[in-house]
Amino acid sequence: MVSSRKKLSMKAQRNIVGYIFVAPALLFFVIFVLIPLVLSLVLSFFQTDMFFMDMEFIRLDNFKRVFQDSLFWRSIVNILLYTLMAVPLNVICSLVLASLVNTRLSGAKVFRVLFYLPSITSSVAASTVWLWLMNPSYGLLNNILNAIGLPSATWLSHSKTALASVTLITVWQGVGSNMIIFLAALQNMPAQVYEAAKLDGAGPITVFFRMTVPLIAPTMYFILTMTLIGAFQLYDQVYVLTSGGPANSTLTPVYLIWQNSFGDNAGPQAGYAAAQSFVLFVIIMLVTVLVRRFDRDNSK
Amino acid sequence: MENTKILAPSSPEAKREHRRKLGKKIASRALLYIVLILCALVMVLPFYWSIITSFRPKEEILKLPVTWFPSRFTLEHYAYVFETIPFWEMLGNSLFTTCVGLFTNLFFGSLAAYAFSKIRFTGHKVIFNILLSSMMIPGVITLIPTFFVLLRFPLAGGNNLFGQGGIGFYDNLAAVILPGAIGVYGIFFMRQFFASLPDDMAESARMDGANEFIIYFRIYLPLVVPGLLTLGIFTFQSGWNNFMWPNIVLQSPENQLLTMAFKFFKTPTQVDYGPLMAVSLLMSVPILILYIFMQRYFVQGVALGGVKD
Amino acid sequence: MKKQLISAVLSLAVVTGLCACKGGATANDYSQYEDGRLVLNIWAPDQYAGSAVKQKFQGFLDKFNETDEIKELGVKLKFQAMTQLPTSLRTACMSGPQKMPDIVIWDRFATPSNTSYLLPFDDMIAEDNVDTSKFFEEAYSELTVDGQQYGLPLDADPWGIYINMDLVDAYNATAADADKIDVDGLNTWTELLETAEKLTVRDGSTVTRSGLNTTSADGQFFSFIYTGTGELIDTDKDSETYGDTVMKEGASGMMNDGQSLRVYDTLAFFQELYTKNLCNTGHGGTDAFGNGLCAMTYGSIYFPQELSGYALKNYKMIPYPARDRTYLQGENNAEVLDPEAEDKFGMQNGQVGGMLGGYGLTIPQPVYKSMQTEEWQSHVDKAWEVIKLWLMNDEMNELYFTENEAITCRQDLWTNDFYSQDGVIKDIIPYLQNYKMRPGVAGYETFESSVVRSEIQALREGSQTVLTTYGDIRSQGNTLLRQAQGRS
Repeated sequence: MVSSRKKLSMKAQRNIVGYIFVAPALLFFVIFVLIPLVLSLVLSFFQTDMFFMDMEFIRLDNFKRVFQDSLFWRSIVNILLYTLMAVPLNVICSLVLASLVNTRLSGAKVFRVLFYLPSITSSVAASTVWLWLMNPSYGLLNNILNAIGLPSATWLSHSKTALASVTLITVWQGVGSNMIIFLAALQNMPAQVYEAAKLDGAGPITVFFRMTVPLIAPTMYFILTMTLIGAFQLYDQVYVLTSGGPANSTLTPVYLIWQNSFGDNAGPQAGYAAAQSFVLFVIIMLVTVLVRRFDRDNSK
Repeated sequence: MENTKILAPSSPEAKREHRRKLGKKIASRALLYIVLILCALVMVLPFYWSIITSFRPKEEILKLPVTWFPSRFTLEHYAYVFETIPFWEMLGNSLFTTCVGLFTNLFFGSLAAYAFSKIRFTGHKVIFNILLSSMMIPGVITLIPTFFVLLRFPLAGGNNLFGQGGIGFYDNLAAVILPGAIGVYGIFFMRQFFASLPDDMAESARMDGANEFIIYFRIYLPLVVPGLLTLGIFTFQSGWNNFMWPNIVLQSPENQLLTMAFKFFKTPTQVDYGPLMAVSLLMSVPILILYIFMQRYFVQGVALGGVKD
Repeated sequence: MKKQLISAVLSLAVVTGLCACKGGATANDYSQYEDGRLVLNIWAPDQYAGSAVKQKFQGFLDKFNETDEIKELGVKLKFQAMTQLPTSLRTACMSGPQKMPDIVIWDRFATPSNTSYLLPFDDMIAEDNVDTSKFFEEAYSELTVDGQQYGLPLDADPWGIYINMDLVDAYNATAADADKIDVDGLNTWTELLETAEKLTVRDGSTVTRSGLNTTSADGQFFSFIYTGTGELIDTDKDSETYGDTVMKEGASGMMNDGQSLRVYDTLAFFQELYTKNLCNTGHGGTDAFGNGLCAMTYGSIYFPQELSGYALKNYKMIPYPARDRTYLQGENNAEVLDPEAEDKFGMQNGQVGGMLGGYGLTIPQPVYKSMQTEEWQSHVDKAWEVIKLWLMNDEMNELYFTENEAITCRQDLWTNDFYSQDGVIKDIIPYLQNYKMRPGVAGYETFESSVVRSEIQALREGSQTVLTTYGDIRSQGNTLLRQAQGRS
């Protein structure tokens, strides 16, 4: 009896300590995630400006409007296209780079630093640099192309190439950090596995696909999910590089929602912007679940 | 693994074999280097170009054909940057917001992470999963309400208890710090570290009647320093690069962050590439220094860290 | 456990305290004084205060602040260029007077969407008997929304076509007499097309020197519509379709309505410009014009200040030429009209002119009535006096415009010496009465920036036809305009 009561009180004590430890995090979560989330949901049922003046309850009209809004769906198509290009490219490139620098070559560390360099600059700074590189007449890229006898590319100034150019920039910037994560996973791999494979006479390519890839699958999944969620939130680059143009070809949902919430011409769109962001949330969730399902099927 | 245990060749045939292997090895290594150097060029070229542009005289920037080196080095663009924007104030603001955010994220994040993984209080799983799933929420959802919450924050910036009368945290650096002060990613990341440590250290310390905070602070925290450093770099980076939100909540020139500096050199009709390159380089220097110093811990931290789950 | 609680609370408190200290303003520092004078803050958008203009504006303020009149008012003016003016102003007005500017240099055409935080001037105008008839009517009415006046116009900023005269002279030196370019006679769309062709230099199909900058034509749409004496938005309050685009649905609607026809013709004319291959995509910027890579481009009256850093000094500004082409017979089958004649819809075919931009002086107000304190009111009183002095005092008005090299909206001053000196200002003033502001309906700016612009970009890239572009602008435009105006 005594011991069980003591145990109980210990459990209670533990709970209290535990709650105290997580209290600050929870407090901030409630204030800056939960409350705003609920407010935003409420907002999405109203026609209102960001001042919350003249609020008019319009039920589901904002959501109906989202489904009829060709600009919003254009932005969703854009972001899906972008995700399809950027995420695989990013994952593949970072894995290749990680394998390349995961050697005992002298200088491998230097290459690691060089490859990671783009990741540490801010997206804003990187975008301004690329804006200059992709300048149609004075930019370095077109001048290099011309120097080797190729015609100039339109880069950011044509709707056919703009999104691909943005992808190029974000991949350039993103591979470094994913490379580090892959590298960490590769270095964690047991050496015996490779020894055994080598004895069996497997070539490096076979080893890579038969041994390495399955072993780092969890890391791959982690990177895939994080890159995916990140890709859906593309904003900074678009803000600096294209403002969503030309011909809306780089318009992203986050950029559009930002424009409707705080942009120069926002007007009475706060409720509508909230509705748009919830639809975007649902889409992100669906895609993430889809990827998870796919991943599970694959790893069976 | 390199095969280093090749026996000394004895017969001529073995010698030939040895030479062949050696040649193959050198060739493959050379190829590897070529690939690495090519990749490095792609990664570094933009930096080179922005550095060169920032030191090029103005009249040479928009001149064809482009040249790989400036005819002379000039600091005019840097001078113009320092003239146009309150650079040091912006730098100070960026450092301040980033460092406070760094501290809160590391401290409160690891505290919560410790509790989630080592205290196992009732409901820790549920709460943790709720936190975790919030990572999927796109930030734009809460854009307007968060602004409202900060503006009407009780007792801040002249507000009364009901959030009326003042300006809350509007145009205050706190408005940049607070929403990201305790990130879910940090908790998730640190929890992985704590989870990889044995529980019995805590158990025995508790038996000895040690205070739980002391157990966290004295016993476990020192063991997760690589994780803290890695998370530190990530947090510093995201704080330093914060752009969308400060754009909304900060307004006075003395409260601007460094990420907002580029806007002063790029208007819808005109882009001043010289100063723009100078300012983007200046923006990157502090974080570059930080990275070079922390580089050593970095991969190690990620390796130990949170990506297995 | 207590210790843990205390330490957690303490560190939280320290962090919050730290945040609050740094940059934490209290309610008391709203009114600031310098040399015993109340500081009034002026905000200007960055595109207005771009590097060259900013220095000139500061130059004006330095002089203005030293005048006896300003000293007598007991105020001192300070100026701040804002990179995102409407956004910052909106959040500031939501937070209250403390962070608000006292005077805003306001892009006039954005007025209808933003009246909730701009102070109406009507009472003050009436009380002080301000003679508003001195203002250029078109600019003045751009600040009028639903009968309320939200500011007074500062500058008249006509847009037009800038021509590199060095290139024209070089062309004329070798051309046969019949082919010579007469810039003063460049009055119609057809002549613009021909002149652009003459000035274009190609290497194979690659344009090495652009005759006319067509890459930024998307921003000139309204100007060209207006050179057909047309409209883009129905601004007739009594009309059933008030606030919609003027465009009628479908090809038949388009051909049988004067307004719609003009929108269609403009789009078809743009397409003709694009297909003529007159412009290299790399020649869209100021640098291309300044470096002689592009012979003609579009610009505002402030464009010369942007050009000051380039070698080019010999250029001329003309208004947009009049519409003299119609495409009733098909997109590729232009018919040349007499611009002065009237068509069967009773509208004149064309007229030189274009779009009038420009800024006004406005006073922002806190969004919530409870924030409109007496202290704020005292700032407003001073700000109003400053605006009156700045605009209605002839000497001060002239001081501002000579410093800034721009055109005042006080049309009674246009005969002054300053406006008759050789240069783009003198050249364009005779045409000013032909210029027209953008449509004064809520949502127009979004319509222009996110519908018209992107649709015309798509047209330029050849990814859609004139008819599709027309249909898209119409349907997307109407939806957007109705939403912005709160109609369903």
